[in-house]
Amino acid sequence: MTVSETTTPILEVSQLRKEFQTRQGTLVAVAGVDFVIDESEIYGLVGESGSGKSTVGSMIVGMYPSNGGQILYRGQDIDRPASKRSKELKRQIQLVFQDPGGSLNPRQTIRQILSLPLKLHQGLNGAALEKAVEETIEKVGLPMSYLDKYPQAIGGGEKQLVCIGRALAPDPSFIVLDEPTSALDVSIQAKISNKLLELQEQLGLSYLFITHNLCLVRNLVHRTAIMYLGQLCETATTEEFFTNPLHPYTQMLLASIPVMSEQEEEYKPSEVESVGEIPNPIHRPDGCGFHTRCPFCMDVCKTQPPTMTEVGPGHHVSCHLHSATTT
Amino acid sequence: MANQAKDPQTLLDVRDLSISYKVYEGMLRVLQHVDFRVESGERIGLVGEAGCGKTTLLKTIARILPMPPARIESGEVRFKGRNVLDRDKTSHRMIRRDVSMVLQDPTASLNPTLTIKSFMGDILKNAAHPVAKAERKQRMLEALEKVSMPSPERVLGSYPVQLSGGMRQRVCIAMCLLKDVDLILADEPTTSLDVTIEKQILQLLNALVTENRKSMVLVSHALGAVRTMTDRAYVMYAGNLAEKGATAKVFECPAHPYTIGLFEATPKLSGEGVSDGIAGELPSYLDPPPGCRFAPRCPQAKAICREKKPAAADLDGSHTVFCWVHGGRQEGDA
Repeated sequence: MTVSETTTPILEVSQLRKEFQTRQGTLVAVAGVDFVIDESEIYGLVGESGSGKSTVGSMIVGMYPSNGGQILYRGQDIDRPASKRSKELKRQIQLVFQDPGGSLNPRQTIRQILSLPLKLHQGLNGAALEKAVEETIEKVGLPMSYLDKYPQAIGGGEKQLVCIGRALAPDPSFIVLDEPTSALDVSIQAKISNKLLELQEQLGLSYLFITHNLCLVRNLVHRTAIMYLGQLCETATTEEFFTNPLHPYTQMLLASIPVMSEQEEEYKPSEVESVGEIPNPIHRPDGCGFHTRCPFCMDVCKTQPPTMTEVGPGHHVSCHLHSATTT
Repeated sequence: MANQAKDPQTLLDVRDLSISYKVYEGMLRVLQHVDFRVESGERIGLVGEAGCGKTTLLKTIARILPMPPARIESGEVRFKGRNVLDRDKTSHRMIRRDVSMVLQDPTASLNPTLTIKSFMGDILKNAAHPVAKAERKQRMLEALEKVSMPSPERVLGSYPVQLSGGMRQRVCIAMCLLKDVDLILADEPTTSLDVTIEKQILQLLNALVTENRKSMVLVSHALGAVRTMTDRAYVMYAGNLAEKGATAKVFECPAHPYTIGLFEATPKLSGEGVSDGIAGELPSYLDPPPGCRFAPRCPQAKAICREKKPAAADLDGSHTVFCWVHGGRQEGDA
């Protein structure tokens, strides 16, 4: 929108790493993650709890710095905490949290909540601010009368719409959505995800969509990456990803989804049974992180970590089964 | 209440149950005239969104509903022919011994200061036929093995915090097995777990229920799980039953506008996009709509829906829907 059409991707993450020191030892939450998000793209980052997907999102918005690697935003290195980022950069990258109740100040009206980013980033006040607030609430499809309500007076889905409005208010180009619908009921979730899609198309936004819900990914996201124990297993366009899943973990995830009809069963790979649990990231298994649960585990998997290999156009898998280089 | 023609097969029979909660603002009229039946050996699915009264119903059956603030306005809960809402000791003991509940959050249902061994030991000690001390450990290990617990010996001596969420839920299920209950009430047993672990726990629960011919009520947000694991399904909305019937029928041809909306709003793996969901939000229980409680959100609502409670309409022998669109024809609303 503000920047002219270029070929540089909006976000480039390479070899990103994050460690946390805990009493039991070093927890490697993110262990070398690479991905690229293009302009106006919805990129899905999928993983189970503890896979490090939210940590990646937090580093992108600058909640804390990484322990290695690079985050490039339109070619510019932004790997530092938000306090050290320029105001312009903070305006361009926004965040929506999982729990809309917890991320809205209960003592402020919706009007106050939506005003702050407009004041800070657009420098608006008086009648212009008033008008911008009204435009923002209109954008997310809430009635004007909600402006003078408090968060507890409105429903969970509406609260999330307010959060989305707050993120949109400073006119960003990139939004990190950290499980935006998983605290909501199905009928509300549908409304929110359609709204997000509509806004993305209208405003040409890019999203990093962090979620554990693969069905949602299927219907919303352009490209998908699967994360397990701080590393990416597989990245592909969503279409390719669901029709031709290659990594055993991806297959296990897909096979585990309870689905609504017999037709949908056909989309699930059937040969992979779900076994075992995610290992403690403080004591990562050697070699491939998934080998403790993998039904196709070979000797090499236990010692050597696999590398990302391109197996098709835009389809990368990090698995010894699909890598050409290993013996 | 006349209790005519008692079916010997019926394990649990809830009739006309209405429950309210007394709060500062007034009375929350939650459950309204709910009928609910579980035959012996049957697996029942209970579907509905947050706040629709599923948990209130299960807690009433298990007699763990805090009263007050809850109040039973009408109805009875017959378990093996005995009304457990009569607060006598025999029925109380019967419920405690024959019904077990697996809760959503296994962390909250296990005392953090006790080891797994002490929970399980207590159950064996206080069972209908108490188990001798020497035998207890063997029984505990067997139960843990049945739930495919990795290294059961170690788990027995552990505290709940030392186990993962999936393992804690396995412990809760193993405890149901020790008690040898007739009815398992599973209240969203997998909501707090990851997809791959959810699959394991659901498979386990299903296998145990089928093998041991137990009855189960499964409450779950994962509609797909209800579809594959249950024989009959009930759909609830705002404290009322919307639809009930054989699970396959309900999922293949949902009849209530709420069920249709709910199913359409669920994102599918086939990727045909998501519907716009159901407009509006759950009505307030303080002042629920006088007619059908779904009428304010219903795309097919007619005048009568806003005035009168919908009557049951039989679609075929095993599928009933509570909706005027299907059943209100005698009122002449055309």
